[in-house]
Amino acid sequence: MQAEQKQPVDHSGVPVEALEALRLRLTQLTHSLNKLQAEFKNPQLTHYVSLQAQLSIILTQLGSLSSTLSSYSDVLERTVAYPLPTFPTTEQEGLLTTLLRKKATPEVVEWIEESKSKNTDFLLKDDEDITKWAARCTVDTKEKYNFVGFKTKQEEREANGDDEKDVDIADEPAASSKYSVDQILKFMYQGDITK
Amino acid sequence: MASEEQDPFVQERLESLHNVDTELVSILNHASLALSSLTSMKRNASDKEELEKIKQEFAREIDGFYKNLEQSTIGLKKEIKILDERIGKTDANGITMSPITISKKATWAGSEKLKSELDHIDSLLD
Amino acid sequence: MEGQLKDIPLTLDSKLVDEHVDPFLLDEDKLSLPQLIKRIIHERHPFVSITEHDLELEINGKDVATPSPQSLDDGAEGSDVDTGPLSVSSQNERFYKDKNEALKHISMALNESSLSLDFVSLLISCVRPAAGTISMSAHLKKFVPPGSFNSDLVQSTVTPQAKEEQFKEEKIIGQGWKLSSLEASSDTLHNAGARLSEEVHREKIFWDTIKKNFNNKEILYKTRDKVTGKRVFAVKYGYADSGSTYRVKGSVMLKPMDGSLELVPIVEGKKTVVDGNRVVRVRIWGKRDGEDELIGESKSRMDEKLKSDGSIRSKIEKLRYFIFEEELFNQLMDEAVGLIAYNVKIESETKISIESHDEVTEVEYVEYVDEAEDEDTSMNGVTERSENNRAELFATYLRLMLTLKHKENLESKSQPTVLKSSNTRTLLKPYSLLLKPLVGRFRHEDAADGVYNLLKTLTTAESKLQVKKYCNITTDQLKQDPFKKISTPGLTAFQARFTGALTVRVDVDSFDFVNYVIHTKATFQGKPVLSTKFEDVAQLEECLKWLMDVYK
Repeated sequence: MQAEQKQPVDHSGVPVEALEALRLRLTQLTHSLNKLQAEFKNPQLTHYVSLQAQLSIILTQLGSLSSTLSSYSDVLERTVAYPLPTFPTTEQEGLLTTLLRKKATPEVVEWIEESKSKNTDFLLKDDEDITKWAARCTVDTKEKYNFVGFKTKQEEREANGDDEKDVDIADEPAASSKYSVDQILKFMYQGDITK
Repeated sequence: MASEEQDPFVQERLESLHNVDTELVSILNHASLALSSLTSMKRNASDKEELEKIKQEFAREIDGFYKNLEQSTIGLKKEIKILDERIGKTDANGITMSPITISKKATWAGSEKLKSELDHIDSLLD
Repeated sequence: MEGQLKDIPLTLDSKLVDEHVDPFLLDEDKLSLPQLIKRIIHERHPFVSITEHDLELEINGKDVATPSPQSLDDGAEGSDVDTGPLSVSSQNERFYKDKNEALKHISMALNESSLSLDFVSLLISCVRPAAGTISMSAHLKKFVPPGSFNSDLVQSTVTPQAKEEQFKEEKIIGQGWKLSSLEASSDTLHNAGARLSEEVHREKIFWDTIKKNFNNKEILYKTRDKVTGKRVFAVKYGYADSGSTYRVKGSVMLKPMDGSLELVPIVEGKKTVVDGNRVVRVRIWGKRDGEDELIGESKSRMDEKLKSDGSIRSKIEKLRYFIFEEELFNQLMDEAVGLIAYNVKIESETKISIESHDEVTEVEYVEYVDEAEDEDTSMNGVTERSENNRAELFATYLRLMLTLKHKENLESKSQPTVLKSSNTRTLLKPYSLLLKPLVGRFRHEDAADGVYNLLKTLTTAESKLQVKKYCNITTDQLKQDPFKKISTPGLTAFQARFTGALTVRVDVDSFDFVNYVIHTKATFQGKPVLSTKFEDVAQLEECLKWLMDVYK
């Protein structure tokens, strides 16, 4: 027994890099989720704009988490975790099973099944082609229009003929007279608008 | 007395702002239709004819989306420019857009009532 | 006292307690039997005293008295028009339900992510203990020493074919998710579009109404609706800007309700004493043969320029008319209180009567009857009477003087204020009184008539009598201020020459409109012999008779 305790444990199999990256992402995510939960539990209403901002932050964090997971996926797939004797197994059996659980919760299983049922028998390749086509079409259409300044199509038409017409203001107001500061002050204090 | 309605300049501005509003709403409609046609494209990936039709529909919706977006952004910019240039100028109807906020007072009401009573007395004494 | 305390029902709304389970609040449906028995004994005393009969009565009584869930409708125009006829409380319920569901999901997500975090930190703590302990939760740190996990790389036992299958399956799942999210986003956008187009439509109606009804003259200002807290337009229709100081400032809010604009009055302070739309009407009663006979009546002239087409503009015009009448009558009431010594009586809250020696003039505040609606010919157009014109002139005079008062007020505001002595009371400002000058004018005329008759009887064919009215007003003054004749107390001068060298000059004057003074000056052969003041005509008569006796 003493020999067992003295034997150094080999930690070479621990994927430190992956775990470090995951840990970072997970801390961020947990922190934001905590904040959001606190907002919801607050009996006073918070403005929905701040809630939406937090939600988008959480979504981005989820995204980065899943990308980290997928980049380290080959390493993580082949890793198996097990408790050492130092783990107080007898007391914390429930805790242990929870920590090492790999089966998805019922909600997640349901979610996956639902997604599979939506599937018709279309080929993956076709689907991707369609998406690519749609994205390209969108970008092409966007090029046709101008969002800065004034209309592209009209500019094109007019560029052939006369000079580039700026914004046409319908009627130029008749008497373009500006008031001096003294006149304005006089109006404000005496109501007298004669010039 | 001048017309009972608002000055034509103000009416025009309200009209065009309403048009911009309608365009903005139709943007949402276009986006929604585009996405739904995308889903139906995916569903009908095997049927080539159907696919072509839906592709055209998608292209149309995306086109409408960008067109309305362009029109509404540029429309708003034009409106702002027109209003900005109008400040401080008086037009034919005597309407001035003032650069500062002045609270108006309805001092004309009393004079009008005075005049109408005097007219009535005149009619009685004739 | 104990009994009264027991009658007070106390409830605690669980929503106030923040969804947490409070260990001191026991859910009554989930108590165990011993707990239940303890509760019952506490509430109803020993079981011995509880009879079936009592319980039956109580159960039946409870059925009768069950309060139905009331839809809170206190000024529920405050509820957003978007949600249609839903009551406020069911909105609240929906909101809380959604909020709780969202909270549930968030908590689940939080649990999962904190679990994963714990797992990762525990695993990493064997190699990097510092990093691990920082990110482990307190609970885990307490029970599990760091470095209790280890992991090993194992050989991949998955065949490439199985890997393909797995890969494909994952892709299919991803596709399904993408498809459903596309559909969901399309639906959301569509709903949002529908909602917004309704909103745009409502805005259009609002601005169209404003465009049609308001030109640049009406004062629209932005204010906040006290009930809903939203910002609305309001219109000032009163004469406050024209110089009125009436306590009711005419303001009305333009509230968009159910597709059209409604005018909702902004009431400050207490409401007026009399309700309804009323106008001021003048009636003249002649005393004939001991009975009063109606000989003149003024009519309400609102129909002339107002088209009652229900538009906002005509409503505002009507409001403007009525607030003028209201202010007029209030002013007359205030003045009549002080004129009681001069035969001005307040008959009721809506009637003032002015008596003279052969007539009674009544100023009433009567309800306005729309002539178009009323078919009764006796009211229609006011029957022709002999003194209709005079009554009409009286009423119009009163209205005119009120507008003049406003105008004076307004003009005085534009002058820089001068500190006057405190003796000058505001009531003596020109044009601030309507009734007093008129009543005073009537009394003056009466007195002048009396003096004229007296002098007429006393003078014979040889004597001469001259009468001059309005002696104290020059034509220049009249040009400047056309209303000077009524704003200054009258002065009528009589000059009589009796037989011999006796000339008497009698002036009927007044210092405060209603009390007249008779100045008398007599000269005999060029020398002044008398200069006195009298209060009434009888004294003057005695004096003149004595003069004529003495200076024959």
